[in-house]
Amino acid sequence: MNVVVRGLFHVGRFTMMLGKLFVRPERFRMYWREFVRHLDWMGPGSVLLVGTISVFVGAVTTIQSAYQLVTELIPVSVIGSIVSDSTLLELAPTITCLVLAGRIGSRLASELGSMRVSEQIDALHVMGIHVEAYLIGPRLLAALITIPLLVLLSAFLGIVSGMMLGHITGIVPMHEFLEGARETFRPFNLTICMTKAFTFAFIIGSISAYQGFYVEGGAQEVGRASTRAVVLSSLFILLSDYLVAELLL
Amino acid sequence: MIRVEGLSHWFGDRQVLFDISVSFEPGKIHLIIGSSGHGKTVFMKCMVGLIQPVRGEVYYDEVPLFRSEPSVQKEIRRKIGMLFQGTALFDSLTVEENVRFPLDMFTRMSEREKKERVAYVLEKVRLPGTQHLYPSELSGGMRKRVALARAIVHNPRYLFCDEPNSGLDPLTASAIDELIWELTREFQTTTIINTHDMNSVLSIGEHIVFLYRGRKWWEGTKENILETDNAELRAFLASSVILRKHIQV
Repeated sequence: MNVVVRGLFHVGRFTMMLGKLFVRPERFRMYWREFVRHLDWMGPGSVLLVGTISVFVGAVTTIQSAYQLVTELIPVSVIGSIVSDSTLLELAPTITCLVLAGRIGSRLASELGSMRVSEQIDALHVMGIHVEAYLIGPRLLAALITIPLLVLLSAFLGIVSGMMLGHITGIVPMHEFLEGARETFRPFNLTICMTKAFTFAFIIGSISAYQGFYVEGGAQEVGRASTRAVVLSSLFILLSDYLVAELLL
Repeated sequence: MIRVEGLSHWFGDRQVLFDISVSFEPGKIHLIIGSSGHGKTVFMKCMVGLIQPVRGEVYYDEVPLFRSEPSVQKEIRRKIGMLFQGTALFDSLTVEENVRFPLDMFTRMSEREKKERVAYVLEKVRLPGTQHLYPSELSGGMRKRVALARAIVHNPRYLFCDEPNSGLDPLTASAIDELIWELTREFQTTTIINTHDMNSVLSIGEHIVFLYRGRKWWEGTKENILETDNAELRAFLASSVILRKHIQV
């Protein structure tokens, strides 16, 4: 019972927090400045990490697809089809966002948590600022813009790296890889990829902000909030991954 | 003028403030004194609206804080400056950006006017030329003074200071007291200070409220505090070395 009540409490507070984001900014320029600051560290700051992971995931998918599927009866072009489809539908959005839950989610939670325990949030509140809107709004918006772009980058790099590795190692020639990829490509796959990316971006941004914003206590609690942000974001990413697949496929 | 009427607050089942009523006149320094854990900080947080009391109301120039519309509450808050115990400076911003934050958020001053205003208040708190430094590069006393500069930069009508002297050496502590006194005189603010520093009580305490176990236990001036026959207040005063010779418990 206690767990249910606590769960409802968090759902209620989370919903109210989201509701408080929709207010008229006191000064648009200040909100914009915050937005740009977060856009900068979330986007360009994550490119190297996302790029590295995507290149390896694409390459490994090519090798494993060849190992599992290619026989004399199945043409090698199927590798192109499998790599591109699985990258778009699952690997790029899910793996990228699980990694970003660690990088972006933990930083969001610890930043807001530190602001809470050092009374910076109280100071903003006393000044008469819409605290949730000013602190969470620009962060969430930056996440909603950068994460889908990073997912697109990840999908592109994953497919290209899979194709290049296949070509270089002689597993599958480039033209056959492209032929396979083109054969099974459906624009709807891109819709699913982006639906997942936006959903996961919202999960990472909002859950992490919630965990950080409502920290109570000291430095230890900030660390805990950061961990909770990563764990809960990852769990909800996996859950919503299933739901999106179930609903759209 | 600030008028507190029948303020009571509970944390869960535990009552921490008991029906406190008190008035704070403008242009004066009001000290709230009392031992740790007797409700000073909760009382101040209620007064600035960081905690909504279970019962009672705080009137700012006869406008109720808690019963008013959110827009009116925001207006009241914009007339408040607050110096937090831990300074609550924004770590990622320079001294100048910290101090001008309320101006950036709420005024339409030109860039030059803002720079001049920041330079003026930094001069007032005796920290000229520190605009480019970050809070982490400042000593405890300097951080307090920057926080004080931020609290007064927008000409607040009400100035709240939570333990302004905590963690400071006696010399810096009296410099901060002097500053608050000067600023109160110059800007005619209603200044309310939470403290248990007896130097402050004797030097700047024009109106003193003694809180004991969450109740208003005594109210008076620095002139009559030493003659009080209130046993709990005498015990509190006697715990201070500088007052021990004046007080017989």
